[in-house]
Amino acid sequence: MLFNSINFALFLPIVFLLYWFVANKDYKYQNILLLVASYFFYACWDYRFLFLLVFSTLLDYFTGLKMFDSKSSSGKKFWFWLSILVNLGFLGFFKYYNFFVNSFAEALSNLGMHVEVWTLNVILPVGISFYTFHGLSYVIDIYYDRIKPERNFIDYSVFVSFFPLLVAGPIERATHLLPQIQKERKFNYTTAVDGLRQILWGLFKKVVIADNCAEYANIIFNNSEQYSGSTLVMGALFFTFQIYCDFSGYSDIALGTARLFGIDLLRNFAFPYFSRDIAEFWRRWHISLSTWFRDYLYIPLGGSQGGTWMKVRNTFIIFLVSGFWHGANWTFIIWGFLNALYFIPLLLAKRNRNNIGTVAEGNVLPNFRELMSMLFTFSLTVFAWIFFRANSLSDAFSFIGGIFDSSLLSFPTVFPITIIVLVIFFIIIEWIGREHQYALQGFGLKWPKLLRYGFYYLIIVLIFAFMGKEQEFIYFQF
Amino acid sequence: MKKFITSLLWFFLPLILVIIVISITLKKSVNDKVNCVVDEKTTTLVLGHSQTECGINDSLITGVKNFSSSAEPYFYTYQKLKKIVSVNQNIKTVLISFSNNQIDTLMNEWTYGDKYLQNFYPKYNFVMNSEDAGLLFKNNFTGFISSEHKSFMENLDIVLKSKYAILSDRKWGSYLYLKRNKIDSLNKTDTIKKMMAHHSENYSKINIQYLHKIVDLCKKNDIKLVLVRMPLYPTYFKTKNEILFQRIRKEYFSDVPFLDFHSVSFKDDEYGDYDHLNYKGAKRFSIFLDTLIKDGLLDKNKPQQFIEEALVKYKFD
Repeated sequence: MLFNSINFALFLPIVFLLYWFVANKDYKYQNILLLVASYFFYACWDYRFLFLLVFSTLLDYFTGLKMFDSKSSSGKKFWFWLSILVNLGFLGFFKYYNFFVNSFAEALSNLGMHVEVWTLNVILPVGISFYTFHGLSYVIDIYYDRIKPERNFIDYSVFVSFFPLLVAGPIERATHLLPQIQKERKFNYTTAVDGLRQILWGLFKKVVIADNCAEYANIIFNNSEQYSGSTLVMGALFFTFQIYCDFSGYSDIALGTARLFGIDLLRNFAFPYFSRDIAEFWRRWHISLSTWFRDYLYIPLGGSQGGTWMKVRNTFIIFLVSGFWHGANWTFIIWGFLNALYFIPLLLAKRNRNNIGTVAEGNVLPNFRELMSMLFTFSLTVFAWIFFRANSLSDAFSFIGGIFDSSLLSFPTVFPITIIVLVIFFIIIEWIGREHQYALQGFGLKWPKLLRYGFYYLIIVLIFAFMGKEQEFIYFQF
Repeated sequence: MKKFITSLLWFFLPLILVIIVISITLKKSVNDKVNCVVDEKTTTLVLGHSQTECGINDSLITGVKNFSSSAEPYFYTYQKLKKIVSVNQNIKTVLISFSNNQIDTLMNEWTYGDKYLQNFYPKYNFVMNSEDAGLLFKNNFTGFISSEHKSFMENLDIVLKSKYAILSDRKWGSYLYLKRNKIDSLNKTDTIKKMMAHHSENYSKINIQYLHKIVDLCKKNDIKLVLVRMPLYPTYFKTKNEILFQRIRKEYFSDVPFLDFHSVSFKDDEYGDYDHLNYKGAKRFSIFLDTLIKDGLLDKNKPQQFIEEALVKYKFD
């Protein structure tokens, strides 16, 4: 069930009405309803993998309790490693098995040894990377005595399976989400309206910007050898906006939906393309994953506390793992590697926390320096996305080779004016709203009601006009 | 909560009403202005799915226009015919494909399955009455809503760009010049075995119901309706639901002439695949059909016997 589908448009109001009108006597009933709705939502993708979700939930629930109840540290360790290994085992099998087998065979073949590999036609269960990371953070937090285990199985299951975040995050933390699930939720008009507004903006990003940019990005990336350098740049730009609007659009819909149920989810994006350096970009892009890696990988490895070598090593590890998390392909690993290369100079020069606040805060326009920094960071990001999007490393290199060609100065052969105007419109709204949680949050709130409604209608009309080329969210494959 | 629901209603109601009003206006406008007039020399229409679409080259047959369309079930063919006959008094005969797969339950999917609904509904929405649209709505609510949206956008495009020449733009079907020849590759695989495994014993009630409606529509407009079974690759034919097919034909359509060409032999390179002629087969078949029509096939009391005799007479095989 896609967020931008008719099915979801029916599913959401039904669950919403049942939640606030039927199950509102007790928050426990609401949790049961959320769990049933979440399992139904997941089963609509592929009911065969529902068992995996339930198994993963049961595993972390029980190992969490066992760890906490263990009297000996060896017992605690046993349950901890059991959970970690089984969780990563499932993730590894479904996501990386073929990659490792093929890479191993290729490596042997390079050494002159030819082996027959046994690959499997493995289907990647939707959301496995997300709910596995949910579970892992929960288990790790219990192991390090940061939290106590949740004894109510329903509450814990809702934490893992809450439908807005189930298939593509944000990756929640037990410390943030569980307390909200364990208490009564009161309906709040302002929060609910804000949620709807965020859903509206998320839909606009996905349906109008991402899906249309996808069409041109796909054409250009899949036939890159036929296009001029300038057109390839357009392709990279289209993908840059596609991936941002696709994923942050999904996150907006997820956050907005959760707000309708009185639940606040972690923010996942904070206008990353307005970043002034790569360190700022990574504080603003896929925040829930970046902070997950920071807390559960980077800091345990020593973070930036050790010597130069340790800092460099840890930065490479975190970016390479982040790339690999996205999928079993060398393109993602190189993408991670490239971002590490961008990041390390800032880290070594201790300039990685130079840009903490919002760019041009309180001003209408950025100053020249801010503008140049943003453009430079944006260009680095666009360049890295080429690896992320390319079907293979050789495709990525030939794409880049195609850009740096005399045709770079020619007029692009693919130049869809309507889509470009829409992207510019989108950038303007995002810029105006950059000091808020999402662009539309404070937009036009001081306008007369009729004008504000007119603006919302315009967004709806654009969504309506561009609906139909329904494409899956990119992050579902991760 | 009450305030929230009320605000939502006040926000969405005007929008929904405006969309409904525009949608109805667009449908009416397209229906009124769409040009479905065929050339006055055309007296015979060919309708149906891909078998007639690929197999009958109307440029080789006098007075015939082929408006067949791939994967089109009778539900949509009925909508098309209803509109065409309402503005063309010269149509005297309709040849419509009637083959084994058109009674199969697969036709339900072709009528209201998501993919097919999204393809066909926008093409015919403006000629559909509420009863027909309601049938789609009842069988696939979400698919219908998506298709309504697509129809809205397509109708808007027709009105804004004055694309009213639906027939000449081939939006409602035409002869398809099929180049491929896959018989050799199909014979090498187990395609036939797979087809036999999917053999169905049930039939599509909706497709039969709308073929009935086509029969009634033709009767009402004094048009001769003829069912046509197109040539099929011999091995393929054996996999089909022949007993059920004959039972349905005799039970429901015994009074409608039936021209059965399924056993007419063609060379392997004249088939596109097991159940479609390619352009070579279509050329030979269409010339033969033209001859038969000129010889009075459509007026014969025993047309099948006439075909058998003609096959021998013209040494078609």
